[in-house]
This record gives sequence, C-alpha cells and structure tokens, in this order.
Amino acid sequence: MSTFETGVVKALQQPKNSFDETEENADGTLDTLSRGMGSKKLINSRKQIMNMEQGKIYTPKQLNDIGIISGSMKDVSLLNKYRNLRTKLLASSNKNNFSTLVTSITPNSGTSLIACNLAATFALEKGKTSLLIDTNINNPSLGKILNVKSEIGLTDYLESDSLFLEDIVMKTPIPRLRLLPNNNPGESASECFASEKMKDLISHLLKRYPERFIVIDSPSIATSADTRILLELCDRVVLVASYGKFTEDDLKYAIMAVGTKKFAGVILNEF
Amino acid sequence: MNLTISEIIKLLLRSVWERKVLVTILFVITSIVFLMMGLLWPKVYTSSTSILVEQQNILRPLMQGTAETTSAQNRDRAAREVIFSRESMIRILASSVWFDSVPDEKEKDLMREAIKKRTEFINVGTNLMLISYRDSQAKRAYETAKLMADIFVEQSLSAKRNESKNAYDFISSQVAEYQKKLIDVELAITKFRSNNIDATPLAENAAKERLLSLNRQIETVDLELNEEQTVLKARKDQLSGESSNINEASFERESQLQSRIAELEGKLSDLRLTYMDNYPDITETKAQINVLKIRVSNEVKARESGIISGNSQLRDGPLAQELRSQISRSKTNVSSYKSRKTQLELLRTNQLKKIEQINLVKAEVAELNRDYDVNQQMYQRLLSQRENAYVSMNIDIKQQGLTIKIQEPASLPVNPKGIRFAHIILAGLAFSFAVPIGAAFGLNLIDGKVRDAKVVMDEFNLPILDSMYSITTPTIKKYNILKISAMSLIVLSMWGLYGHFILLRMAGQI
Repeated sequence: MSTFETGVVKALQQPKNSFDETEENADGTLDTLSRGMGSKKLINSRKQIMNMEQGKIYTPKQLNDIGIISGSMKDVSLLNKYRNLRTKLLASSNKNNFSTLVTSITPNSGTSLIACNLAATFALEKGKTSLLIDTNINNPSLGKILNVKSEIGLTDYLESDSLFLEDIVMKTPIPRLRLLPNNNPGESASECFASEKMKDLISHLLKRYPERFIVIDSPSIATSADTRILLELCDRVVLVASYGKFTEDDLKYAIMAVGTKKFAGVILNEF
Repeated sequence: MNLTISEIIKLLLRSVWERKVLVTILFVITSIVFLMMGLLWPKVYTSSTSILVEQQNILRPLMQGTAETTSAQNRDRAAREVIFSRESMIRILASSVWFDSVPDEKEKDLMREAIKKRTEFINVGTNLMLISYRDSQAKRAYETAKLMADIFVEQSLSAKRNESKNAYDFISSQVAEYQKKLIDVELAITKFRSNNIDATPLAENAAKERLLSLNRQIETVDLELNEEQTVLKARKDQLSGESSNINEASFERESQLQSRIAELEGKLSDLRLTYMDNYPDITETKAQINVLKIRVSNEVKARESGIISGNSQLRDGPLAQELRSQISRSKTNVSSYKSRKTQLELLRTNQLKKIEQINLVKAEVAELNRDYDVNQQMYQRLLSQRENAYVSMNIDIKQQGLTIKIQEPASLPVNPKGIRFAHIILAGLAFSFAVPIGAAFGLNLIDGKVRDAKVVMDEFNLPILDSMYSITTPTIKKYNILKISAMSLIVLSMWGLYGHFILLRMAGQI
C-alpha cells in the first residue's frame, strides 16, 4: 500500500468526533491533516473534500429551521442576496481567500446569523470551504445557532499553550463550514485578541487552505473595543446596520471606527 | 418623507410590532380607563316645562295705578323666589327619593343647594318662561320640573287671588268707611237743624218779611216825621216873622245895587285903561261905588236885624198864640215820631241780627250738605269699584282669567343629554387604538434610531452591500403567531367587556 492509501484508511478509521483538516497543495490537491502530532498526512483528492467527515448534515429544511440559507432553499431571492454579497466581497479583494469581519453598529443586530449565512454562502460552492470564528465575548451564540457542542474555544486556545488548532475547529451541520467557537470567553479575551498568537492563527488559517474563507463574527462596535483590534487581523470589514437599532450618531461612530481602508460596505438588515 | 399611505401604514404596523408589549399594555389601560369613565360618568337628564305668563295685571285699572305689578324682567327672579322658598323646597324634597339614608339638616341643605344649581330659568319672548331642571335620574328630573312648574303656577294664582281679594277687601272697607261718614254727616245735619229750628227757611222768610215791614214802617214814620218837621219849621218861620216879603224887597234892592256896582266897576276899569287914577272921572266912579257898597251893607244889616226887630204884632197876637200851640203840638208829634222811629230802628237792628244768624246757620247747613254730597259721590264710586273687584276676585277664584298657565308640561326625558355613555364608549374604542399606536409611532419618531435606508445611503454616502433579512424560522413563526394571538385575544376580550357593559347599559341595568 502506498502511503496515500494508508493514510486514507487511517483517516477513514478515525473516530467520528474528530475533524480532519484538509489542506490544499499547490497543485490543487488537498491534504488532510490528521490530529495528534500536528503531522500532516496529505491526501490528494478533490473528492476528499466531498468526503470530508461531516458528522450530522442538516437538510435544507433543517437549515431553514435554524435560519441558515442553503442551496436549494425556497426563498431564492435571499439566497441570491447572499450570493451577491459574496461576489461583491470577492470582487473587492484581490486575494484568493480572505478573512471577512462581520460586525454591527449596535448589539443585537442579528450579526451572528448574517455571519453564519455569509460563511454558508462561501461554503456553498463545492470547491470552497469557510471557517466561522466567534469572537463574541458577551454572548457567543454561534455554537448554539449551529448546534455545535464543544467545551473549549478560541479563548482557551489563545490562553493556553497546550491546545492545538484541531482541537478547537469544529464541524458544523453545514457542509464545508467549520466553526471556531468561543465557549469560555473569560475576562482577558480582549487582550488575547491583540496577541501575536491570534494574528498567527488567522494568517495561518488563511495560508494553509487557500480555498478556505474566514468569516469572523465580532461584537458590535458600540459595545466593544475588540472589534478595532480585530480589524487589524482581517482583510475586509462588513458593517451590519439593523432596522431601528442604531442612531445616526452610532453610525457615525461606527464609520469612524471602521475606517475606509478595509471597509467593504454596509449590510442593511431588516430594512 | 412618508408620501404614500401604504408606507405610513407599514411604518405604523412595524412600530406597533416593535413595541408590541407597550402597545398591548397601553391598549388595555386606555380601554379600561374609558370604560370606567363611561360607567361612572353621571347621566344627565333634563326636563323642562314652559309657563305662559301674561304681562298685564287685571287689577291695575281697578286700583288706578295704586297696586304694584310685577314686570317681565323680574319674572324669573319672582319665579326663583317662589320655587326656591323654604316651603317649596320642602315639598320638592318630599316628592322624590333624594337620599340613600335619612339625611340630617346639613345634607338636606346641601341637596337643596344642589337642586337650585341644577335649575335654570329662561325667558323666551315677553310672555313665556322656561323652567329647566337636570338630574341624574330621568324620573326625578321629570317629577321635579313638573312640581316646580305646579308650585309656581299655584303660588302665582293664589298670589293673584290674594291680591284681588285684598283689593276687594280694601275697597269694601273703604265703602264701609264712607258709608259711616255719610251716616255721620246725615246725623249732624239733622242735629243741627233740630238745634236751629228757627232757622228754617220758613222762619227765614218770616224774618225777612218782618224786616221788610219794619223797613216800611220806618219809612212811613220817617215820612211823617219829615212832614211834621217841615210843618213845624214853616210855623216857626211864620211865627218868627214872615218878613219874607220884606226880605224879598230887601233882596231885590240889594241885587239892584249890586248890579249897579258891577256896572260902575266896569266903567271904572274902562276908564283905568285910558286914564290914570287921579282922573276926576275915576275918582268919582270910585266914590259912587263906595256909596253904593255902603248902601248894600246897610240893607243887609237892616234885613238881618229886621228878623229880630220884626213885626211885634205878629209875635203877640192870637194868630201867634195859635201858631205857638200848633208849634208845640208839632214838636210833640215830632218827638213821638222820632221815638217811634228809634224803636222801630232798634227792632230792625234786632231783626237784622236775627237774619244774619239765620244766614250763618244756612251756610253751615249748606256746608254739611256739601260734605254729604261729596261723601255720597265717593260712596257711589266705591260701590261700583267694589263690584268690579268682586267680579275680578271671582274670576281669580274660578281661575277663569288667563294670567298664568302651564303652556308645555314637563316630559319624562328619555335620553340623557350631553356627553353620554355611548360617546365615551366610542371614544374609548377609538382611543384604545389611537393611543397605543400613536405612542409606539411617537416613540419611534423620537428615539432617534435610524429606520430609513435612505439615511444610511444618502446622508452618509456609504457603499451598501445589500439589504438583508432573516429567514423566518418555524420557531420564530410560531412565536409570532402566539404573540399575535395573544394580542388579538386581549383586544377581543376588551371588546367583549365593552359589549357586556353596553348591553347592561342598554337594558338599563346600570
């Protein structure tokens, strides 16, 4: 058996709860990272992505029930909106994959759901994946939305040295969408976000898998200063403006905070 | 801004949905508040009656302006006085149920004041007066208004009756008074006449006749006296010398001399014109005149002394004696005549006095009679006035006179006036929606939150990626349905509550 085949067998034998990282090589093939020692067992296959271990996959109906778009959803216009959004973001960035920060002017704007849906939109295409990072400290809700259970999250990883990336990247019921939750935010989360480790994490995540898009769900600009820190880490920023949730002053403040360099645009929510 | 109505409605609905809890609470509160207001609002029933009041007082012509009449302007003040008098108010209080429990004096007073405040008097035109009373109970309003009108008419009529009765009594008393006066005067006249019985017209005539006869007698006596006096004088003259012829000659001679003197004096004056005083003719004439004058004076002397030194023959002769006895007889006659005359004159004076007395008596009798006549006239007039007063009194007793009557009687008010339960309920239904929606909308206007996409797009010139909305998951749908159901339930239950009370009100239960 070639190394390749051994690797495939091993991968298939791995327990369901663990997730494999797939890496894409320069030639377009994918490598699968198995957990454990951080060693890479590369598997070259496009199909591999398709056969990525997923665990439970939601049907479109189930996705609809939790408010997530899907490729065959009934409300085509919404789907197209998200696709449109994705296209705009792609067009505005000259890189292949990039990280998008989704933030809002004021809290409770439905940002998390939009971030989810954006990530799901990126993951619609069968050749692409997306990683959703939850940087909410007050109320990290992405885990609940996506029904992903995990004891550890981003802050744990940033704070401790003994955790590996594979430990915190979770599978979601949405195909090709991974979640990096933030279960135990702690008090020093803000400081963690500014750390080198965080920077490395993001850049690493982007570099490793060129077909992976990162969507960061961040707190609102009004309530948290973390967002500004996170701004530095990402490539594009999307501002969510929700109906009846912000004043003009809030908007001004948000605009000022976001700046113009990485600002991709405003998403009007529920207008 | 919001130009189309559908946009506005959408905006309203959205704001209501945004603040559903507040909206619901406000709806409930507003509904209940209006319901309470409607139930507790005092019902006001007004019952009014109109009274026809005539301006003229029938008695006025009778009393010739002496009786007082009430003017139209004071009519409602009179009405107020009559109806709000103590007795009337007592009757009014006794006529309906005003208190829940037995009241004390203070409560009664307060109720009286309240009733007075709720009564209105309106003058319509010159002859009509409206009494209007409002109350929270229909029946009580009707009964009180009716009673007030009745009291007023009753009192007015009885006042009129009293007035005419008083007038009649007054006139009657006047008649009696004058009657008494007449009787007194009559008595006085009779008494007077009986006291002065010789002052009767008969006596008067007799006295006058007597006076006349006395006058005649005096005249006769006078004549006789004069006659006798003349005879006496003639006889005296005869006796004292009838030197009348001699005297006559003497007079003749005197007059001749006088005329000659006059002649000479005329001649003298003529001479004086031409000549001076010492002209011989003038002195001669003067001497002639002097001589003549001496002759005249001698003549006169002679004549006068001739009476005394007259014919002595005549003095002592038988003729003279006869004459003397005649003269003494004449003298006796004269004196008797004179004494008679004096006596007669005395009688006449007495008679005159008597006549004067009679005249005085006559005058007094005339005055008494005049008194009587005047009184008689007044008496007659009063008699006729009394007749009129009697008629008028009877008219008033039988209420035949149309001075005051109820033109339009009070009626039982069916519907309360003014703001009613129905109005408040309708207002409640309207406000219970307007207030919450208005509040929600208003709050949205003032909370400063951006609800218009244009603000983001135009004012800030921001690139808009898209306008998203979230998928309505079944859970959310379920919750929405629950919320809408709850709200609808609350609205319906409020309407149900309203309906319940409306029915109760319509059935007159409350």
